[in-house]
Amino acid sequence: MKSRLFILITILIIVAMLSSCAPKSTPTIQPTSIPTSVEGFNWRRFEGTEITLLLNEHPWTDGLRPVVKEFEDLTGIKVNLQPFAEDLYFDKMELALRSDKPVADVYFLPMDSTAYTQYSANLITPLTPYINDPSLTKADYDLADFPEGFRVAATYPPGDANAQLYGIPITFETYILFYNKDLVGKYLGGKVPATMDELLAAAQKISNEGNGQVYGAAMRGIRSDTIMDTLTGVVFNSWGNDPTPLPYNIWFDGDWKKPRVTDPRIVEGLSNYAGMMKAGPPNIQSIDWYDANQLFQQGKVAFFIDASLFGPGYEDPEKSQVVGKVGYAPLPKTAKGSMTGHWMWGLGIPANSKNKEAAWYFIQWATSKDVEPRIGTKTGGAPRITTWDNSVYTSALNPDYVKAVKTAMQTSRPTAVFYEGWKEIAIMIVDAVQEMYGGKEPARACEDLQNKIFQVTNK
Amino acid sequence: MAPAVSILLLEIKMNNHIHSLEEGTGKHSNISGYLYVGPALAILGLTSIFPVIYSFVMSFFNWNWGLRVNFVGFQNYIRYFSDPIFWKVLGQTFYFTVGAVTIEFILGFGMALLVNRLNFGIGVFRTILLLPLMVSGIIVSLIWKVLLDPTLGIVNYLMSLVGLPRLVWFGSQSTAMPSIIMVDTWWQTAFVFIVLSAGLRSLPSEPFEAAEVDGANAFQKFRFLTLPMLRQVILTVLIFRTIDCLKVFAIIFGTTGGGPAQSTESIQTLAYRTAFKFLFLSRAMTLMVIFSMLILIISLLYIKFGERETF
Repeated sequence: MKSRLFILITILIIVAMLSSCAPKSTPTIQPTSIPTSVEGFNWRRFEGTEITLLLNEHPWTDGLRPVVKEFEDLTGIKVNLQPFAEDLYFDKMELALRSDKPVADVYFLPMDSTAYTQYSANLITPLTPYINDPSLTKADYDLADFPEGFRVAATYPPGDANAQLYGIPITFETYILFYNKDLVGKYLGGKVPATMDELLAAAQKISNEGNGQVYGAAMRGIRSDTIMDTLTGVVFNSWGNDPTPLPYNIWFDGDWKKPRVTDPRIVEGLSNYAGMMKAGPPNIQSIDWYDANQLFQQGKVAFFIDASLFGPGYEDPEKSQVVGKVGYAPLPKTAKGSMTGHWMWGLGIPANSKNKEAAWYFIQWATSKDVEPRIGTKTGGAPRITTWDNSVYTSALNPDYVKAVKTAMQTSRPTAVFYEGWKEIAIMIVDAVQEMYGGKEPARACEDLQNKIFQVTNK
Repeated sequence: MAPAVSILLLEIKMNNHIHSLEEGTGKHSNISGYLYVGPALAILGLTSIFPVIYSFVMSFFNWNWGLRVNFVGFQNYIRYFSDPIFWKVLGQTFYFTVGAVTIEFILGFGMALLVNRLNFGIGVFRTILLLPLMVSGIIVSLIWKVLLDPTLGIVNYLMSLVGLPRLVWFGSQSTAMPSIIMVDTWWQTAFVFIVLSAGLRSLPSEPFEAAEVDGANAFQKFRFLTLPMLRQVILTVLIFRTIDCLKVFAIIFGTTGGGPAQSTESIQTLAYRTAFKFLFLSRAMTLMVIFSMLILIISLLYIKFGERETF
């Protein structure tokens, strides 16, 4: 009797568990179908819809939070924000795009090989049809206000005449030099290095004299493909004016089978990065952007080359110990001049979204000439050209910062490489820099790197 | 999960053994045993055997979590077995496991022996020791990452106050793995302590009293009474800690992420990076299949070793 009761209970438990595994159908509110000829543009066309935003915990998201209610009031579309810390965000994003049930309607799209890989796997929605539809896009949206050099990073297939745009840029970062004016005054007599060689020597000098209390430089030193964009910026500085056509960028000579990392300009650039690492704290190989940014914010390092969007945070008295003490400059020049790179986050629409038009409404609103400058005050990286003359935006930022970024943008190029297995190659390049940091001769390190990349792309 | 299955199979055998002792031989006792374990096996089967089979099958392809799914035979396996990085990472995983399990076992057993002799304050002592165990792995690693930061962390600061040199902890290739072993020791020694402490308290006192009468000293009592009687408990503790340490992820991921320069990379962190950063899902599945086989073999060895010398 007892064992029969036991069997009955276990069967009930199994049945309960199996039935909870069955897929549930989630109700979604579909917008009512509208006849194609509609008069003018109507913000309230998708009233009643609900959309989900999958976001990165980025200053842009901080800028969005206070204003998102305006969108809801304007359109009647309810917005669910789902932000995640960056590391976790990348995993969530990849899973959400591949899920067979819709997870998000709008997401933070990394405008580089990541988005390209997503495009190649048919996971994202082209936005060009929405932009070209006057009933879905307001007449004054002005897509051309986003520089061509920004849009190209999300236009696929790259180089194709019929390529479509898959993401609208929301924030860009360009790689500039931050310096601590106090430390420069104390150790360098107030002289800011004017060339890359001077910078390397100055940073090393400060580290030598800093006694473990302060260091010359902080850089992203971890072994990860995520440092690739900053690294590319530094290499661009040594590359000079010569073209860097996409999809190959500087790393390949017009063909994936022809890597050219033994080019002396690339060797010099990678070696400069390793040199900056050497002027950093002893645990530089564990330092990611967050740690490096912290060190600079706490006044522990004199120089920091990285994304411009860290700038506004340095003037925030609640987080920064170096308010008012930060200098902003484009990368110190090499023999080839001063060049740099940029990288962007954009907003995109997953292919598995059921509310694509409503999602487009949000993207359009958030990147409009009215809203973008306001969100941009938190990022210091608003992509629209007109925003940089908009006093709502520029008055919230340090004028030296604005000047440095504007100067950098004149010679900045996309760091993206559109190759599906790019991250594997990126980490090989990072490994070469790590070897240079460890003392390996730069030319040798690049020769070995060349062989490694050749093997991967010539299979 | 494979070791859990082996343990469950052992359970079935034991169940049958017990039933046939209690109720005599016959089919009735066998079926009872299987029915008791059946539901658990069914759920384990659904949740672990299916992913294992799926991973095993997909490891023969080159799936990149997108549209590319081509059959490549044993290419992934050959790639890893001939890749020096794979062997280096495997070696590092074993280095971590042997180091952590050894130190945790010695410390935990030592503390259990000491506490066993206490007549008061046992509860307090046990609670304090248990506190680190309550915290989840990723929080432990984040706390220690902040504490051991060479420039901004408090440990270095306190050490400098008493004249000790400031160490680089997670920052240099030579000190990173020992630092991680230290963090894991702080976290998991309590587990060894709890289990061995319970084992010690469950030992009968008569043999010890008899030994006392026979004039045995403390070391002889330990060597000839405590150790043999605790053999099964010790083996259980070791098998759990070994498997746990081989599967290490959170402690390494949260502190060093596998660096500096891949010197603390473990098989799990490598598989995570291969799957979610490079999107080479088939290759990551290959890694996991190889590694699961390894863990299965090790746990079966442990069980065999334990079975051989039952008393």
